[in-house]
Amino acid sequence: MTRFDDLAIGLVRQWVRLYTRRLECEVRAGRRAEIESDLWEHRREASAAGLRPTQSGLEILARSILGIPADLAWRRVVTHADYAQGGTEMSERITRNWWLVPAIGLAGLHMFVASELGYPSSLRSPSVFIGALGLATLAGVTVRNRAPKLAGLLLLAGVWAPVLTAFKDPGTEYGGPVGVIAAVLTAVGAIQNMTRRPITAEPRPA
Amino acid sequence: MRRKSGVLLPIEVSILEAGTDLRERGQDEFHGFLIAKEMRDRDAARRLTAHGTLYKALDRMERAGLLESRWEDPSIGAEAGRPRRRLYRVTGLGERAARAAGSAEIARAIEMAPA
Repeated sequence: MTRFDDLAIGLVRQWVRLYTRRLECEVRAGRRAEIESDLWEHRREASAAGLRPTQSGLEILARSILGIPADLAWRRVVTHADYAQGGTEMSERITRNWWLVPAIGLAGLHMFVASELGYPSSLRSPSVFIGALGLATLAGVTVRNRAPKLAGLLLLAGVWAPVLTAFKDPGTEYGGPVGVIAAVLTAVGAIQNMTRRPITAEPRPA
Repeated sequence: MRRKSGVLLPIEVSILEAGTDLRERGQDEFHGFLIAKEMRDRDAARRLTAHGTLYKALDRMERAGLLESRWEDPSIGAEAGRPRRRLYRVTGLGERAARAAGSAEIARAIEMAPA
């Protein structure tokens, strides 16, 4: 026959499983382990005090039922904390990487000019050089987190051509307004990136 | 329960005082059930604090810097044949907060006492 305290502990476990569902893995596991430890200690204490399984089962059940409003309130707090943290991370990511779109566009423009148009008349440079600038911009985008200073230099190397051509020979197919805007935004992003610390993978606290 | 910022709830004061008492008796760290038992004995209460109320308070107090916690080495629990414990400790801030709450309570009691 099942003892009443076993039954009570089983019900409490089900409740904890229910209200910790879909929470962040660490939070969920932490709360479940903590209640598991509490249940074990409670049963041992009750047994040492000579309580019958029915009495200890009722105590355990009462502790769980009386705590339901607090459990639900805690879940709300934890869920909102996760949401707030996610929102902060998202804004941080946007603040940090807003310039990626113009940088990639600029790299694409360089590559396009190199492969399709060959030699822009005003620049008098071989297409391989224009292609190299595009590759430098792409390399800068790729290493922006691990090596922000190197990334900034690579990106700055890639932005000068459209600006220069636009001023030297306005209206040419290379370095039109879109290219210039992309170059200026990328330059601002590159400088901003250079002033930031490298991002490294840090272990989460236990 | 809503409260003003910077004001401790009765359960928080109770946890801090029970934790400080345990420390004075040589037990620097405590787990959830132990502090619930200590609080029941101190307050001469009939029941242990409810799970939700207790662990929500501990979580909130840790976020506020009044407590610190760590998970016990799993091998210790395994050797003792029990689940591992989450061990809490009252921080310096927690001790100061408990002392301040205690003196405020004494001051209130003196004010309310008949002359």
